Amino acid sequence: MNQNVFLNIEKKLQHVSGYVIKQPSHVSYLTNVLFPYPENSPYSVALVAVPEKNEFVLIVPIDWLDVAKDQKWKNSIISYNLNQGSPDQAFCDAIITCLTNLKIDSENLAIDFPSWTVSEMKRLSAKMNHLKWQDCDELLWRNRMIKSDQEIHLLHQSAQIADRGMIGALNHVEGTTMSSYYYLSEFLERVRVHAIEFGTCGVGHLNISQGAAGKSKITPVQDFSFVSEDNLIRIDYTSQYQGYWNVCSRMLFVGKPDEESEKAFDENQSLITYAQSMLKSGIAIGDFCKRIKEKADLSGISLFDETCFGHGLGLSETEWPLITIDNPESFEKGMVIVLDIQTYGPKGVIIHSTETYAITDRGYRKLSDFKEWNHLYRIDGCRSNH
Amino acid sequence: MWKRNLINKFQTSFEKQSEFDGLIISNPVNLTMMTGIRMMFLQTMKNYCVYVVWSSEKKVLICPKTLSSSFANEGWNDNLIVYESCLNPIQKATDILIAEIRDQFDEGTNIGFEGRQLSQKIFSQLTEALPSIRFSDAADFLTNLRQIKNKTELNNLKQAAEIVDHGIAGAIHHIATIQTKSEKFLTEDIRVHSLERGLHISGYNAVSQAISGDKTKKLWANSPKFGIGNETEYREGELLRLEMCGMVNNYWANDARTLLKGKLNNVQDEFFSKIAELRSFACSIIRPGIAAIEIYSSILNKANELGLDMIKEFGFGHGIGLEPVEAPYITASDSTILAENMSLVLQLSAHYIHGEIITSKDTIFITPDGCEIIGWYENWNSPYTTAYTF
Repeated sequence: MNQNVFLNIEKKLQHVSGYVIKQPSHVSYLTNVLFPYPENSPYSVALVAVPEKNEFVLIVPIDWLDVAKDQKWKNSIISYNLNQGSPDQAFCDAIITCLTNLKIDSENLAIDFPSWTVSEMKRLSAKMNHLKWQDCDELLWRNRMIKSDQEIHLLHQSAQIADRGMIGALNHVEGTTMSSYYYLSEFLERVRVHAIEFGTCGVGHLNISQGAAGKSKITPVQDFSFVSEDNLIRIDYTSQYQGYWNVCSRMLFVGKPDEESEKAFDENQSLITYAQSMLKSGIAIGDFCKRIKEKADLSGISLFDETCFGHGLGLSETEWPLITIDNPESFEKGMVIVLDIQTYGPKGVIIHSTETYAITDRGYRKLSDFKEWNHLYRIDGCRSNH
Repeated sequence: MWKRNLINKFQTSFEKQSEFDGLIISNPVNLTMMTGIRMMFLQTMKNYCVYVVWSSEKKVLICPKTLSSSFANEGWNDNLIVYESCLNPIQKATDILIAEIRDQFDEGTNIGFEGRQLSQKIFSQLTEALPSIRFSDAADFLTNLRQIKNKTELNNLKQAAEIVDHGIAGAIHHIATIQTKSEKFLTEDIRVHSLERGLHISGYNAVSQAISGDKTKKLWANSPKFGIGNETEYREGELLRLEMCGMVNNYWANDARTLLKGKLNNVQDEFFSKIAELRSFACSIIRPGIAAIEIYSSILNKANELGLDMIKEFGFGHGIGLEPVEAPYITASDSTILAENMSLVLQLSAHYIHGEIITSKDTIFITPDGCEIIGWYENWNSPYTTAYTF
């Protein structure tokens, strides 16, 4: 249980009698319990907390009771099931039971308000007299923005696993470009398989594009198209280690890259190098973005996204700080970010290559350090089987 | 083509069955229905916010500029309003949404929203900014729309069910009694064999499991690694629970089978015969006009009669479609009346003698007269037993 968080945020709230937190990554942050793909599930989890009485109760669907226990959750736990009502009804009723049992004053709750749906708030309000709350969502995100050494360690491992997954897949595809073909889905699955082999705890987003299809960010593969020569391939995927996510995007070329592709990749790299040179605690994020844009404009490099160059990483795939041109805040020591500068390449395809950094006192520490990706990766070679 | 078919289904239902002048959609799954593209990351990455404002006269998609070409390429050919990436994308998109509603709809207009998905925070902003608009919860309309499938949807579900069932069968044909394989390896094999047969690759909860021994006493073994497996090797005589979730054309299969490494003994044989009998019984009562709650009670009574120790807290099934688990739920609390062209997963989970959770999941379509099991690659009335060797 990460009780210090409550100490940090309660100073900024007024006379809170208890907390009801629903956002799955907030719950994991506070409890150190991870759940199986909670955002993709019809079920919700919550943490009901009364820090001053040292009372913490996890609310989980019965399917995930063992999940919490297996991760050494020692405090109370209440499970609900669908015989008690629809997923949202049974969930809300479990919360109401918990608040009632703990005798928490419902007029002074703190909740992560944006996570609560209209029907949930309606049910809670109907069944609890004088429900009043303060929103602690921003306080939680802000608290999560600065990582502990242990979190940075996990994010480092996550970044390394992500790249090892990519390399493992590449090593299978190399040598097959003219003979035993891999199809695109299979290539992408190899990335997941190798990330798993190197220790990931879960894979999230998966996307692969080849050739002109790469003009779009999301390119679902719904056929058996093969990896084919003379094409730029872009792989974007997210994976996590012990709940800590990495966002990994790499560019590859099948065969010998043409000059235009090499140039586009090098231009993108030049912006990454430039961004790295500015990356340090104290620099305003908006200024950082403006200078990248100015550099791109001066160099004649077209940006796919002119206003955003990455975001924070942690127990969510995307978290604060968002590296956007309108962000007035500054980088701080302990932030972990993924730098994601997206530019246009040949035929309008999107070029990018992500890097993960922890911001330090004097600059940054690169966490995606398993391999340098500063040259356009070439998939080549031929043999009779692989 | 199938995407246009689904968008047309939505349009027709909206015009004929809904009481709304317009609809606001923000839930990523419902967005899939209206745009034909599934962006699973919208459920987890909060730096993207997408809305659709739908009326008979005008359809508007509000999305970040970086996603506009993706939507357009995948079939969205109506209006697009894009916004630049920014510090508060939800606020940005909501401001555009408010302006669009103000522009498009007259005072007193009735606009539906997704009560079970829309954040109360956003809803409060909408009602405050648009006091003359009547907002009504469209949850029931959307649930009903998604529960009753058309031919295209059933075809997608059938393909998914067939592929995943075949994928599991394909993977387990690589296991022999005297040769071992790790849990992680078989978990991967199930996914790969499903992809080989045409499953569309997707991340997040599109995962498999292959759990054996004591670990089958839990639904999600190996926390916090979910759907990955570890190095455990299967032993002769053990029952393995095999599961796979995956999609075709954004429609899901959610399949669970059992493998026995070796030969069935009499106790196992009797147990699985009872599960098969329970499945047959369930299929004999599932039909249009019966309530989900009634099916639940009947299955529970029959299971008690058979002496099966069912895990009734999970219910005995649920709907399947654009999500692997969706309404209706075959539970003690769901009074939904089943109707023709609903698609369900019949989930029969029971404890075996040492507490192992044995689960069977079958995709079922509700037909005019009853129901039919979809997608069986082979006869699953008994668990798959391995060949002694290759």
